[in-house]
Amino acid sequence: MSLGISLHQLSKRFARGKEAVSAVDGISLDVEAKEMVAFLGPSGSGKTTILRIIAGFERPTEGRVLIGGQDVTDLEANARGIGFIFQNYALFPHMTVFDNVAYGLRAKRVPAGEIPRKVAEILEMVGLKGVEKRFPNQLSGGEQQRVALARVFVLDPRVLLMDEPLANLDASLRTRMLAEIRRLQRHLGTTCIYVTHDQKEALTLADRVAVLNRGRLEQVGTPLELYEAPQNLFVADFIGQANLLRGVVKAVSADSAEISVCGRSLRVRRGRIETLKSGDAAGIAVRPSAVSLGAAREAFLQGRVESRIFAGDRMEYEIEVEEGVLVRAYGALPGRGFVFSEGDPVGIHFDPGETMAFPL
Amino acid sequence: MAGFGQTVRSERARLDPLILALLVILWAGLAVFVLYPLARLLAAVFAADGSASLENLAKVFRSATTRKALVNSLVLAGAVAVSGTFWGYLFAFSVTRIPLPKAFRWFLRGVVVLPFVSPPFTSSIALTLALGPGGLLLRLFRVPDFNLYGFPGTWVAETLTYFPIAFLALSAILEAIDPNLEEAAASLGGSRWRVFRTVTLPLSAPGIANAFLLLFGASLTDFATPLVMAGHTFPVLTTQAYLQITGMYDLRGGATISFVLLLPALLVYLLQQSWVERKSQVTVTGRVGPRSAPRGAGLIAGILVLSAVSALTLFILFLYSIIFLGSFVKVWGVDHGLTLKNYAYVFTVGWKAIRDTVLIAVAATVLGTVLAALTGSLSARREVPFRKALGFVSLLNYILPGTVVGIAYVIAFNSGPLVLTGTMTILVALCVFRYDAVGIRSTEAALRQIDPSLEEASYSLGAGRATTFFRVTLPLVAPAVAAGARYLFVVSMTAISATIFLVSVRWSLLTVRILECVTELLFAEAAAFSVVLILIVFLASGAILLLLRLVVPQSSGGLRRS
Ligand SMILES: Nc1ncnc2c1ncn2[C@@H]1O[C@H](COP(=O)(O)OP(=O)(O)O)[C@@H](O)[C@H]1O
Ligand SMILES: [Mg+2]
Repeated sequence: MSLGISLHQLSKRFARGKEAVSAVDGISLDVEAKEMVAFLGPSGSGKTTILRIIAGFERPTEGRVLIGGQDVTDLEANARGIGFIFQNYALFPHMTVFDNVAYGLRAKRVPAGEIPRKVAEILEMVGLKGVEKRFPNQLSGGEQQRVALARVFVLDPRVLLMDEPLANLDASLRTRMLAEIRRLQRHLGTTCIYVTHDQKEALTLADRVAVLNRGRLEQVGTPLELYEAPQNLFVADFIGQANLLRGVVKAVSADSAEISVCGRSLRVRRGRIETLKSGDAAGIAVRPSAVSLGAAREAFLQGRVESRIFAGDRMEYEIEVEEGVLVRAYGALPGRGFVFSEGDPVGIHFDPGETMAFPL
Repeated sequence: MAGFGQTVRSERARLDPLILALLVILWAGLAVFVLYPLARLLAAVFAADGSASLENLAKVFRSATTRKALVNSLVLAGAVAVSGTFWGYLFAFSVTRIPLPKAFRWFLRGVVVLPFVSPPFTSSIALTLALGPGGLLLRLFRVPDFNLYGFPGTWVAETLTYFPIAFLALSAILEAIDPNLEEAAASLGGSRWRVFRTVTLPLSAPGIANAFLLLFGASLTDFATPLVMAGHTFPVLTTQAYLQITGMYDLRGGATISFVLLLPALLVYLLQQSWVERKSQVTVTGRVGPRSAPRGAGLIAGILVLSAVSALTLFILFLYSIIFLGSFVKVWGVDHGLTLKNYAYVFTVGWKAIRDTVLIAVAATVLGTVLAALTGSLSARREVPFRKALGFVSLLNYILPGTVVGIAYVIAFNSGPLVLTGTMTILVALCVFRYDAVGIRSTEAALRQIDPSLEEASYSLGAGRATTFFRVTLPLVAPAVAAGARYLFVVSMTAISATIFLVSVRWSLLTVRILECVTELLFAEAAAFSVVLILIVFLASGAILLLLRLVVPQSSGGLRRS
């Protein structure tokens, strides 16, 4: 049975010396039953702390945690029925794979006769048949990860929390495990919060993504919403890449704003236009894919190619438009279009439909 | 025992009433058996005619013999530290840097630990039988008059006894140096000697300093070897303090001499601790990925080192076989006919000493292990008040030279509110409060090494506090606790420097019996006692390991390293 999670005004402050450090700051969020939500944010943004509060390893300074509508804020960790996947897996080093997986079943006093069957089933499901007698240190990183998953899934947890579970794996294994985790979560219908600082993981895996920054929730939404309609400069920058430029608002109308950037005037229709005021500073975000390059003369901005990288399916340029201001842009591969060289003068256009402005 | 499991990340917990009760008991024990004797000793040293004075110290320093003993003690300690560190490094280098068959490596390690499980006179007796008056080697090589006693004999015997300490310290640090660093140096064009000189040796320097200081301290406070080997021409402080008390019945004078010993010993200890702290910063690289095998030393260097190491190994084995054979001959050096009469002597005349010693060692091991596990887990908990002080006072008797502790106990428990002279209690208490140090440290270290996420994982899998403690925490610290127990048993069986002041007609000790045999020139009997003692220690060591397996079957997994 899978349950939803509600966080109400969750805050956590740690004492560091005499001052208090705010690790989590007024977070409210609802996770639906069977949903997979990713917590995405840079390191130190409070992701782990929130997860540990939900799991019951840490008490919140303020706020409540509800699971399936029941307030569990004051419940012990072992009474919450939550599965937790640790970044370092936390497999018991002195127990075999079998004993690790059976640990929770024994704690729950599942009849001893049923344990071998359940363990075998779950090991088969995570693709780990035949390693029951091995110790964790005799397994590869990917296998340890699977044991950690099996150890939790065998208990059929109401809620699954994962703290950067793939951080210790190499890139190709990470892609495989990502698909695997998604398959298991869908198959078993477990409510899941997945913490990561890797936007690719979050966007491919999650139904919804919660972007965190310095203990605060910046935005929650589906991956597409976050990409298409970021609510602030931090999200615009953190989800997908963006060129960030400073500008000054010159005029605001109902559906667009005129902003001066690098001495040019730019009409912007997306972002938080409604919050801009004439005369204010504004942040402009343009994705590299919305930057087009051309001849220098009749362009919106002129610049010089500062660097050029071959990125597999395209060329990536960094163009200096002003002293110290670089704009990233993509271009065609050699033989399929024009290719600039380092030092070339180049003209830049921003696709107005893809340019976003936010208050600073 | 809720005293274990640390909850590292949780908020500052209120102090459990159980923990509070344990702390009170612990501090009471420390007050009576650590702080009180030390205070009485200091009072005896710094009081004359009922008022505070330095007269006792001045009197001691007016004696030419004491001044000579101080110089001798320091010179001897320096010499032993140099030679012991040298041999320790050679052995450690062979085991960690020269590609040797695995069996041979284990053999070397086995030979090296022999002195740890032997009574403190073993090498002295063996050396005497080999090189003393009418000794085996002297007759073999027809050396007519060679005087072993004095500085040379003491130096050689102490080097043989203590170089394993250097070996352990140095092999640990040599193992911690990533061979990749040496490979990197080699690939930058360094010859083998250059790589050794510029990478291996500097990186092991903190270990060398550490080993040197450990050996210096060990030799400075050694009592058994100089008592047998030094003779009248080479007085040292430990034996002088003993003779002052047993020969001249001058307790105050003995206490004052032991205080003179205390100062350099403490200084060396503090230096060594600061080195250890520095070493832990150097401890080399967070290892990522597999480590390559060590590169080896090169052919010629390897052969040189191995020859030296093999020669010393053979010599040690030769000495131990002398002890073994010596225990079966009629009169060493006179009549080499085989006999069992020495063992008959040991099990009749010596039976009481064997029984007493084993009884005391078992009691000390049981009590001391509980105490060590408790102290270690309490001082690992962050919410315990004065945990630094707790750790320090618990280790104090271990840091102080045995002679000092023994004399302090005599002064404290001969008179005054608590008279314990001649009882088993005083011997057990001495062993417990002096030798639980290793168990305290290893328990504390093991607890710190347990990643808090392991206990959290257990909770989140639905286990309660008790289950988590017994299934996760305990199996992971049990090997450390057992290591402390083994140490406690071994040293309780082989100790003498402190206990010799506390034996009585009612409670005798094997080591003291061996000493008596040696002074009466009953070498064959002494050898038989030694063999029996070594056997008991081995058996008990094995029994403790077996017990560990029985109590915590999974603990073998805990010893595995990835
Ligand atoms: N037990 C703790 N004591 C003090 N500060 C902590 C503790 N745990 C986390 N913090 C602080 O809280 C902030 C958020 O940490 P964390 O939740 O681990 O971030 P993330 O998982 O997003 O990297 C950091 O500034 C961190 O230093
Ligand atoms: Mg984290």
